[in-house]
Amino acid sequence: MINFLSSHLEDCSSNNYFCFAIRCEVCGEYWYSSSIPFTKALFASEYSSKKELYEAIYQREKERAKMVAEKEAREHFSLCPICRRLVCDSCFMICDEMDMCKECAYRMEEYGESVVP
Amino acid sequence: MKIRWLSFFIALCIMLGGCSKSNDGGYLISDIDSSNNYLSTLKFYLPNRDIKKSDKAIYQEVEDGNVAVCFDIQAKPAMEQGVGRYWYPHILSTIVLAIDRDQTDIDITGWNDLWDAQVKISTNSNSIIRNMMVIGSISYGLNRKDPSKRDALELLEYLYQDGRFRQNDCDAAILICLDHEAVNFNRNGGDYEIVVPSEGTLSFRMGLLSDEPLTLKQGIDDALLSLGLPLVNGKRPLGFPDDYGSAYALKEYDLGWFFDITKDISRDLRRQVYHQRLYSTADLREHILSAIVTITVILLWKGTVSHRMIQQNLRRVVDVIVWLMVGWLLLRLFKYQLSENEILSRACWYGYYPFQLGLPLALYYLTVILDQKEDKKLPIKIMLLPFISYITSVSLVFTNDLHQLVFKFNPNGNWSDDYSYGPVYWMIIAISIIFLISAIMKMFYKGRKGSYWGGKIFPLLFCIALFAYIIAYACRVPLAWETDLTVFMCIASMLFFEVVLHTGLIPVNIQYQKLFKAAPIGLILLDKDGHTVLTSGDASYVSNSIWKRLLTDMDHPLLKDKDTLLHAVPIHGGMAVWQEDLSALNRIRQDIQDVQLRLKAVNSLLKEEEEVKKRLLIAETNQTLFEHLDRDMESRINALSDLIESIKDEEYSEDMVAYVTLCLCHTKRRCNLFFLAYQGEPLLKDELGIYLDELTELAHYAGLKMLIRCDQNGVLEIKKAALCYDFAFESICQALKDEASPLMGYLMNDGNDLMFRFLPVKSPEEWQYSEELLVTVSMLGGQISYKDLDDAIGICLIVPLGGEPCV
Repeated sequence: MINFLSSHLEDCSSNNYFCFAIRCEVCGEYWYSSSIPFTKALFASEYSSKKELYEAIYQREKERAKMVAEKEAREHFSLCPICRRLVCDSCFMICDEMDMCKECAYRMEEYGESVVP
Repeated sequence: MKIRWLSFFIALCIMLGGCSKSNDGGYLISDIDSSNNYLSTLKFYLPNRDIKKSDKAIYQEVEDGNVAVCFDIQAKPAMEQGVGRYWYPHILSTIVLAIDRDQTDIDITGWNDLWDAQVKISTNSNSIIRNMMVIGSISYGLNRKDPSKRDALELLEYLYQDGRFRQNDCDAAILICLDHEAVNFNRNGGDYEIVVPSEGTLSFRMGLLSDEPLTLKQGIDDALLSLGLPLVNGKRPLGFPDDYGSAYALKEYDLGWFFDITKDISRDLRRQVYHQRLYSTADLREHILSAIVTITVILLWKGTVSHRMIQQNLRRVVDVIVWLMVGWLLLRLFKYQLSENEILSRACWYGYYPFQLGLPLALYYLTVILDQKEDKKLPIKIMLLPFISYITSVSLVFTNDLHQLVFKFNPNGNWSDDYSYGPVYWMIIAISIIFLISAIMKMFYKGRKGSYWGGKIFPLLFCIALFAYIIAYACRVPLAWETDLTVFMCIASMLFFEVVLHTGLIPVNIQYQKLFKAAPIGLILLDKDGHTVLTSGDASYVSNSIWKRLLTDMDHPLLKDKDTLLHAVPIHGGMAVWQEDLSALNRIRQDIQDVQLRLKAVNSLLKEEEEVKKRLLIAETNQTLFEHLDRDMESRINALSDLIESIKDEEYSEDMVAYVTLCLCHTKRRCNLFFLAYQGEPLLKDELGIYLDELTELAHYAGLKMLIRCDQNGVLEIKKAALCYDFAFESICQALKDEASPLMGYLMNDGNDLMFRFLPVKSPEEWQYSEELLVTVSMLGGQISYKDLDDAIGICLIVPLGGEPCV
């Protein structure tokens, strides 16, 4: 799941913070991870001579932030076992037989409730 | 800081409350209806207990370990609730009619005789218990089978409205009292006839209620009898009526119906008998309920105002006003629970004033900041004087016990009822009124530009009504005096505020919701916690994750979904999120991409078509070209073939070969010229000269000595060049045939004409030019002419250089 999420994460980071987004494949709405500030943002803008150093730190922190975002995204997204799409909690249904996305539930006439109404 | 002050206030209250006299649980508590004779007897039989007038509910006194003198209708319910485990009844008190024979001699036997008795009738007490006993007795007397308070109230109402009934008036001709009280009046010199109402009346047991067993000495009954008090066993001393047959002593099982008909008796007396408080609260329960309802309404109203007011500083002031009102009402509710003469009760009374005086001050502050920007800080001096006045006023009220300048009363007396206002009180009230008037004037001044006429009239009318009420209350006009000032002032303040809000004197955002709903843009206002405050009709919900991301970085817009881009700007207390609809742009982009794809496909098709057409055209052109070439060259080639075939071996000579070569050369060059003609390119005159020199050279081999001089530069139209070349070739052929060697040729410009002359040694007049050449000459507007040059005749081709060729 983590790897699957990782492949869906879109980088929305800036020079000052790290943020990642995932788009629900059913409703199309984006979910954004909590922004994590780049600890050296201030220094990186001031000391251009150490650009390479701060770039390396940036990349390292970005990787960490991405892992945090993946964990966070796991709380909000599910993989539909039918259509294998990544869907948000609003579009993921808890059904009697098997949990699935609401489009699959509608198609298969399964009834249930959204994880987040 | 606020909590510290609140703690200080509560501690002060507790400390003041603790200043009251301590209770050691050794008192004999009497109330207003207790018999003095009974108390004096008890004093003897309970020597360790001092007699004390009750200053709180007797149930509380009993809980505190005291012994209370009370009636059975008080004791039994208390015991049911676990208050007072021991009940010692001693006296049987009966409600009777005591007729003062010094005032009247009318014959009265029972309650129904009172309808026509044209004398003053009164009770000798207005306590709630006594009222219950009287109403219960009359109700029982008027309908013994099914007692109803309605009968009793109708009788009393009739009497009161006829001006014959009042309460607590011992000078009345007929007193509704307890029998032993009437006997006591007679013992003290009165002349009362004691009548036990013939229709029926009730007897109540009076005794002692205690939480602990009492040890009373023997002989108390005798002592009571000797003091003129009737005993619970029915024994009565002299002076009492003989016949108590119509009197009914309440049993324990009678308490149910008794309390049913006597509950809410104070309210019923006020409303049904005295016709008072018809439209205001009439008893303690209603006072408390009205206060609670008012608090609820105020808090609900606060919710609506907070919702309507976006400007936060105004909202904060309204919150303060609301909490002042709620605090005032709550403090009043708290005071209802206290005995009236406690010091804590007085502290609560003083405690009204911080709230009461705070209201106009808060309103004044509100009007000061009304047209100020939200983030603008006001100079301290603007509110300094009002605030100092407020603090001083409150301080003066709270220190009243020291100086008695605000309220004048006897601290050890009945101060809750018997007090007057001091000069400082009027000064404080005047300051409050000044704030109130200033606030109203400011409000009107700031709202003077409003176009709505009601915006000035309605608040003004409301103010007039409010002032009229205050004056009426001060003058104790019943309509105002009977109302609850606190509740009325709170409701009036709330209504005034509502009127002011609706008329626009205080700007609110009543229409913001509608405005947002109707707005075509997708705009959402979020508070500092990310909750939606206002949203336009087209705007969709902003999720928590998006709000957090916007909060981090408002400079960069972000996508909500592929068709919605969110922009955020910080506003006071939150952010405004504007949703840009990208669906049209996306659609256009998609359309453009589709069009691009289609164009690419069409382009490749066209390219392919072009190539095919090109190939086809080349093929067709080639075919046409070769057809033309064939047609053009066919006669020449055929003629040449015929010539070659006609040549016999014996006729083969060098001249003939040269001639054939000449013909081949001509055919070849004509082909060149033919292609050049199709290319549409002109021919350099130098090149034509070379062609002509080539012919000259071959003609030389064929035996014709000739020279063609070509003195032209530049270019020549291909058709004219071809014509000149053909003319030269045919002239050479004719010269060879006529053996007209040498032959001179000259190609030159003659004005606007191109002139090509040959001068043979023989007359060229017999020369036959081909039909094709002549047609071409004619088409190009030229002519072939002969010129006689004395010793020779020349032939000349003249072709105009410019102009359209003749078709």
